[in-house]
Amino acid sequence: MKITPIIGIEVHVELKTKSKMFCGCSADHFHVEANIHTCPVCLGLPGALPVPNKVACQWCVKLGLSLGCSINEESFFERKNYFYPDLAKGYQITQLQKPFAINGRLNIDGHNIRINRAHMEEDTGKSVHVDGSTLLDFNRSGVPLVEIVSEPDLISAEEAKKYLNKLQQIIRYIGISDADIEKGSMRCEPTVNVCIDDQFYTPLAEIKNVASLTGVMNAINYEIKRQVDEYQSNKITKNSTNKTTRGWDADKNQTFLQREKEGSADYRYFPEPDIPPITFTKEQIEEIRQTIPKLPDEKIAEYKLLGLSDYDASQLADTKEFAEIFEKIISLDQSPEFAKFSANLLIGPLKIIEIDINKINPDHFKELFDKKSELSSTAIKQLILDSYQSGQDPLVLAKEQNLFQVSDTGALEAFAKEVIEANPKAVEDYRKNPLAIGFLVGQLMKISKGSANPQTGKEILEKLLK
Amino acid sequence: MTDLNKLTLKEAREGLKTKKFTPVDLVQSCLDRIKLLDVKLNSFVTVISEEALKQAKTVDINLPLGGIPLAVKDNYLTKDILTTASSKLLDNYIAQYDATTIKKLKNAGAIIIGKTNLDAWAHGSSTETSDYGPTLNPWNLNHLPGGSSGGSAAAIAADETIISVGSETAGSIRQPAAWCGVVGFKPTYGRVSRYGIIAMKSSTDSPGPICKTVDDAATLLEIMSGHDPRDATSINEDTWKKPEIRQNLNGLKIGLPLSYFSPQTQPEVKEAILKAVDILKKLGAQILELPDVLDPKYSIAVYTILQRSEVSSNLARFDGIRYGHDRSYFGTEAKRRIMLGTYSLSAGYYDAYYLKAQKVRTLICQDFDKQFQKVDAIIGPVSPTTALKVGASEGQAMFGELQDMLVEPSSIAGLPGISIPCAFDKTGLPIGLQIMAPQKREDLVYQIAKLFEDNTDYHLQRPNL
Amino acid sequence: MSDNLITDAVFQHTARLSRLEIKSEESYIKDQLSQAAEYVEVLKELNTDNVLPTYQVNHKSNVLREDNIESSFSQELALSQAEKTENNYFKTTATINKNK
Repeated sequence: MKITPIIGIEVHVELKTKSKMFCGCSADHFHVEANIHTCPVCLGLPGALPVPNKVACQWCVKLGLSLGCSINEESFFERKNYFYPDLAKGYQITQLQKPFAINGRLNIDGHNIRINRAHMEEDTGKSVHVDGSTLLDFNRSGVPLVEIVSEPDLISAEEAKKYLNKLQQIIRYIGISDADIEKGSMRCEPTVNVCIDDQFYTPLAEIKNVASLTGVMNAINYEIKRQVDEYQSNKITKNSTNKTTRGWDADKNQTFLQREKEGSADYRYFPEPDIPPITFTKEQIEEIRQTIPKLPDEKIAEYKLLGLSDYDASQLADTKEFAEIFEKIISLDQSPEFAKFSANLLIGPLKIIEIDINKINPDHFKELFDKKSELSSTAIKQLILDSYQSGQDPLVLAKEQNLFQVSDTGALEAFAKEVIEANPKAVEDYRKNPLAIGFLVGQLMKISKGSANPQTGKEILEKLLK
Repeated sequence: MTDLNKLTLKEAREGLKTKKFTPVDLVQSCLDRIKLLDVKLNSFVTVISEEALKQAKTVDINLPLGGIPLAVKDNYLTKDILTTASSKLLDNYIAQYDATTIKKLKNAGAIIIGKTNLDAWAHGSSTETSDYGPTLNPWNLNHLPGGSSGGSAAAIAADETIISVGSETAGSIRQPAAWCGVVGFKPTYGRVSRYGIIAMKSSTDSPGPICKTVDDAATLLEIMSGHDPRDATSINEDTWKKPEIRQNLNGLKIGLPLSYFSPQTQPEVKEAILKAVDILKKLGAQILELPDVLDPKYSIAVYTILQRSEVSSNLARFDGIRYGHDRSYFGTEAKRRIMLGTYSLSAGYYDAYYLKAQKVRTLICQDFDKQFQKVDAIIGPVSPTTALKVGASEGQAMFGELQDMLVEPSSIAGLPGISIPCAFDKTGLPIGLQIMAPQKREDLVYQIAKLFEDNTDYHLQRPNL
Repeated sequence: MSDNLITDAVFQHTARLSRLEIKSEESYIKDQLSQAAEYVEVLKELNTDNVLPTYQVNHKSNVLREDNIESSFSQELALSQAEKTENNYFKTTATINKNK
């Protein structure tokens, strides 16, 4: 039986604007007291009217452009009508017919995932179910959300995870949201079905309440298997009315059917009469495009041109801040060697600890690079860490800690001669197999108490043993 | 100092500034009148005596409306005052903020003496569908005052207040003004902020004044108007200013749409309008009959669909969680409108109903554009009949829409219009003349209405109460 | 929409979508809906093939606010009109209907 998963994902991203989408209340709702950032508009009081947040709209366009979307010259808001206690007005202001951005794509390992749209809408309040009642906090009501809808082009849970990682990275790069899945500023809802033997399609299932990237992967994988099993037993295929909504139970590691109303939801969309349409001229779109920094893919390509590997380049481009500090460092020396040297230090010792980008001093890297023939690689790694933590000059620290290696050939020759004399058997081994030089170099390091530069020492030994 | 309540705004301001009487005298006079009449009339849902008198003691009479008693239709939010939309669902709702327009009126020194009755949620043209009982027509207590701003119109006609404000979605200012023989001025859509007025049909709701004279209404409009950053549909202009008064109507072309005289038109209404036409002619206007104005019947359909669709959505916020009672408190009329609106928007009907209606709306706007190429203003009857009897609206699914058919077209197109008294029928019930102009041309409406009023005395008549 | 009859099923579905309970004595609303629906048939008489809809009668566009924080209601004022509150939350015991 051939199984082809078909996955699309809907992502909601909370923008980190100062104020809400349609009113001037603070958009901060994380860990604040309930119902302290509300007003007639976001509380849905009688007579209140919405006025859209300019920055939010611009950021939606910015995201659309970053995803290769076209921007509609004229777009407008619509009302999506449904009842829920945390939906203050009994409708959500969103976009349907004319969203801000359409027809983009995200490239995942050579596979183009099409993006149907990126549009603007408002968040609901928060509800907490306690003892048969629902408690409601409207601090989050009206916070700006961008909804990004992909076509069902994803073919596996792994690819879905990569898609989400990349999307998250871009969103953070352009600075419009923290896109933190655990905190809820990025919410992912995959819709899954399966094609069996290239002809039968299982019914669609939309999965909600997935609170982590691993959860998304697990939920998709679970759902694929569940659908295949179900199809094998009931042979029901997809039609226009059997799409279901399922929740993800992270504890039990399974999806479950959520209570559905009979008949499909009818949102009765119509254009929002309280908000006039919004237009973007070509000039305005270009202006917004100019504010987009170089995105990860572009940076990775640039770093590879410097001679860095795929892995190194991706690591460096991981966040905008990290990339920026790398670029600042290599601005001191354009050589590929320095690039590689700095990359290793950033990705190695410095990335392991949680660093404060602002504390990194590019000069330290250059200094160590210039003296690298006199320092062991272990010493260099230690010094970059020490100088980061203390702020002190690494060369000063090196001197204090006696880390400078002897490259002085005279002194090294003396050590080398001692080693050759003391280890005749090793010398014989070397004559048979040049790779055995390692032991002698080791002895040289021992005799010099680690201060010998191993590369130079090796060369001297080889010269003497010729 | 009796009968201060019978003064116009102009007269009251004059009297206050020349210290003939105080704001307290004025407010007290209105409150006394309300006490005397309102048990019968039922113009008011809430009367505010204590607070009003308190304000009257300290108000600055140099403000444009300093010390003037104001009656507010109960769909305007007035902070700390019960605001019900004449519905039981909000019978305990103390408004948490002031509508922008109310702020402006208060800043101008007006003193709110009460919230007036309306058809619940402003759904209606009779004020009979208020959850607090109908308001009666001061000219004949067996008849209706019209609606939905019936309470405000009746309060003005009965001199229970000096000035009042109402709102119009399609006729709700002009029609009760016509049935009560007072002046109702509906501004251009977007001229006055809607922020803080309980939404009915968002795309045509227009708050406006209902007063005793054209000048009073215009003064109020000056204060109420102006761009509001809180209302994205409010027009980008500063406050409207009254233009110079015309000495005559020379050079003005006024259109009379023949289709506005339907078979349902009461003969006396037609007669009254034709007499008004003569007066306007004498004043120098050139009257042109407009034979090809789009039939108002299309406006009825457009209005019905659009209004009920928007209403069904605008009333969705009333779930009893954050304020008011739950949805079981909606009256039958509200339920009916919500149901039809939900139906019109439902999957499968959107294209045929809602979208079609919005397209016909374009045709209605284009038709007016065409007519205004030929004429400067358009006049006609406000209502096909004079005030109907109490009970007339019961069981009539399309009562409001049919009654308002002559004002729906201009509302749908967002035009300004006024209703001024122009005659009485043989039973003594008032007849209203409406004057409409292109968008933002309240100046023309004012000038024509003012000149007509100055040359007639219908506005000086008062009911025998 | 040539069929104007609003069936019981459609009527009930509409009531559910509207979150309204139509009492038995109000069931005449169904006939009135049909009646009103007939009225709108008249729109078919007009040709709107090349006509764009008018959503905004005063042709405004681009009405936006700057991203500035303005003052909000106090917590007290926000909660002041609610029938039920608990620990500064609004409270409802309404059945949770998930039709999102």
